[in-house]
Amino acid sequence: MNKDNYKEAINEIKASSKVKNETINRITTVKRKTRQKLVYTLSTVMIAAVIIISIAIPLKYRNTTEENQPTKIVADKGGLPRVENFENLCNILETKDTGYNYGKISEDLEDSVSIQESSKSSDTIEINTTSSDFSKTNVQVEGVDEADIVKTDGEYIYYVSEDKIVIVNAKDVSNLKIESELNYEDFNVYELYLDNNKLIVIGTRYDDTDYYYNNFTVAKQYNIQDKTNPILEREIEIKGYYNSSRMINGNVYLISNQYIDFFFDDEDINEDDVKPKYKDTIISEEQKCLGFDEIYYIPDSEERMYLNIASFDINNKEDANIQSFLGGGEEIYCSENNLYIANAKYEYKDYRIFGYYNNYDVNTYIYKFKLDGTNVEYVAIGNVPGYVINQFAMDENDGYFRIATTDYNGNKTDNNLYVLDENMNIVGKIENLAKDERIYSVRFMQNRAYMVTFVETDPLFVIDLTDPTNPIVLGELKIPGFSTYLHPYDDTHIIGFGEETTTNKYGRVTTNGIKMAMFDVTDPSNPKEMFKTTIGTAGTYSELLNNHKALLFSKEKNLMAFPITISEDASNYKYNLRFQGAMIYNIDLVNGFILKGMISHKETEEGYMDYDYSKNVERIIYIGNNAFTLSKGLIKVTDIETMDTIGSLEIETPEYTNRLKLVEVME
Amino acid sequence: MEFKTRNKYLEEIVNEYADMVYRLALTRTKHIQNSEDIVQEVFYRLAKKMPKFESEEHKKAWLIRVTINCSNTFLASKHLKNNVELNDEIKFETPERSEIYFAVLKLAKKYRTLIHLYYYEGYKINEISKICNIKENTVKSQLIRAREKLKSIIEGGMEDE
Repeated sequence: MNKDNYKEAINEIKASSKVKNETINRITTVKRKTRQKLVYTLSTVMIAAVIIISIAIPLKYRNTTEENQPTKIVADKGGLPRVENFENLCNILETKDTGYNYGKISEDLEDSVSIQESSKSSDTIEINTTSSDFSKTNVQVEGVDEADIVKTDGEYIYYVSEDKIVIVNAKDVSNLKIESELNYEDFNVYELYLDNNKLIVIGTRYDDTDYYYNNFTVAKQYNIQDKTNPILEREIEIKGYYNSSRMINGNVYLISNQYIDFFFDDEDINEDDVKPKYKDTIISEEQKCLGFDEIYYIPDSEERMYLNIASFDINNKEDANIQSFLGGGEEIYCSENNLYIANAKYEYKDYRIFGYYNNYDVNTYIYKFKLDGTNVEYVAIGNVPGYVINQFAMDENDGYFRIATTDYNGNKTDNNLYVLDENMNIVGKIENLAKDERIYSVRFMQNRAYMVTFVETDPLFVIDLTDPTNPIVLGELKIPGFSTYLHPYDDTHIIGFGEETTTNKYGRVTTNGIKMAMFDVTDPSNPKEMFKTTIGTAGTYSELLNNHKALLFSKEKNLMAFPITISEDASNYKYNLRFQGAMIYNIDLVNGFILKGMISHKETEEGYMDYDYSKNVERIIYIGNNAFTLSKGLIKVTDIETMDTIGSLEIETPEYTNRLKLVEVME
Repeated sequence: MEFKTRNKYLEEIVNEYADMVYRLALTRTKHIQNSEDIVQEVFYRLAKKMPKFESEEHKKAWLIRVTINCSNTFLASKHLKNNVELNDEIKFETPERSEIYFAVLKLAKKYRTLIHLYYYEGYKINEISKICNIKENTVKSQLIRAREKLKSIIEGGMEDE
């Protein structure tokens, strides 16, 4: 196949000028629909009220005041209205002026030093508190589990390799064996939860042959008492693409975003097509729709999207609790008691001027839900300027919600931190930190926040939050490079992972390998960089840069490990691969980072290597004194003390996996 | 600062992006008339909604996403007009171009779309993954399969001749 011929062929295809002109004529005469009848029926008192409101509300809302408000608002007991019917849905959506959210796409393209490729599935973090001697997923909040591609119970390893799951008996490392495999068709496995004898598999199912439109977020619950024969006990699905999930005490919360798509002009629309859909095999094998009278909407936050939440208890057979809210959601933060869903919206400052990129405000809306078992109850909505980079920019402590944002102001950026009370009202804030920079990472630890912003150097801010109404910047440290993930070592030390940077002769900042640093924040007014290590040069990459779950850390075991591909002497946009595998470090406060060993799933080669997708180490876990490195095609066991290879197991991968690299280099 | 009217802004976007939307719609629906209707619908939605774009790339991605959605809605509804063979309606300057273009159209819709976004629009795998909300690995494996099928279509086609 010749790519150029294809491009040239398509270049020959053009929309006729007739179509263009017709389109222009049609759309320049479009008036956003107003249902005149309704307006006329408003009483004079109501009109007066509308006028007052239009003065009192911010300018950005003015362009919608001509439009009709939803015809019928039925307040729920929690104060939240429902959509009620199809006509109302159309009315609500037509008054919306935010589009689908593509903010992140442009961010990645624009920014040469950007490493923010936050994927939908990369969600949360935590500190390992292993009671037994095996590793757990690195999650944000202790007690709130996050799904990942690998889980272990200390005897068996459950691992997602391509579109299958392997259950590996790891009791005898010299004789690893696959007890069983779960294979799927038309189902994309994303990640797993493990709880005693239950394995929860989360993924997406595509309807028809097309996956853009009809996709469903699915949780499959297996009984794995018999490892050789997992039994599917239950299946729950909600329409929409997978956003995130959490598991707390056996209660799973599954969150999807569902686009609402129909033509406003379409006369014969099937209303069921625009309703949220779900299935719970405990209730029925049939797919069901939520009625419009069951869909909530949160005023000010509607988008052409439903946020669907399914919650269920893996240990009983009660019906799953399915709820749907009109409005999108992006980043998720979840404490043991509350779920927060943040959604950034871009709103014009001056609606009369179009097409200027600096003519908008970014605001993040945060919905708060109270969690009580499988009961998920809407509490309140909050709103702060700016956008959040990931789940770590949010936190809850003593009933207060804290959030760090980067805000655009014209062409400039500044950074803020807000403290919100239980009802999501802002009670404390620090604004305009690090002008012209943006946040690269944040970590909240009890009464302190640590925040890294970046342009050329990496200021680490230490912020005191003891008084929620009066956050104070305690200290600041400026060093080259930046961290994209901050991990607590102990109460007064933090490990930062990120990239090293240098300024080249043209004054441009370029990245130059992976950087790890240990920060001492014992004296918060004077944070120090105690130790620092850099790995490789430009082109060196670790999944840990944008997914905290790729980190293995155990303070007790003095152990830290992460996947890595190391490049050297990059030139002419070609990255010369030196190493592909995992790095294992010892880490303490006296010696800093001591490289213990490097584990690769490939044969050692002289010179530069080829990237091998099926041998790319994705995770490192440990059981006892053995480290298990996992790639799509291999599981390898290494003695942590001696770094000797003591076992391995091949996993069969589909033929195309081995050739994936071809696609990547095809130019 | 130049003061742009709403209509001027819309006109500029149509002139700049109508071809892009039309080409993708044609790849997905394989039908000229339907694709022209989709062009109208996509920009109609833009005019109604007036979304805020963060950048040109954001705008482009929005239009692509809405084009995909619109063509889905089109294909699912009875708007769809009887399928006429495109071969009679579109002529290319060289046989090579013609061969590759129609070979791509023989692929399943999901493959055609990926090929279009990857090879024509030049999106990277992670960008396609974000625009279409599908896993990167799925994009990768589907692209491989698409290429393989494409190869067999082209080779098979030549044997026929």
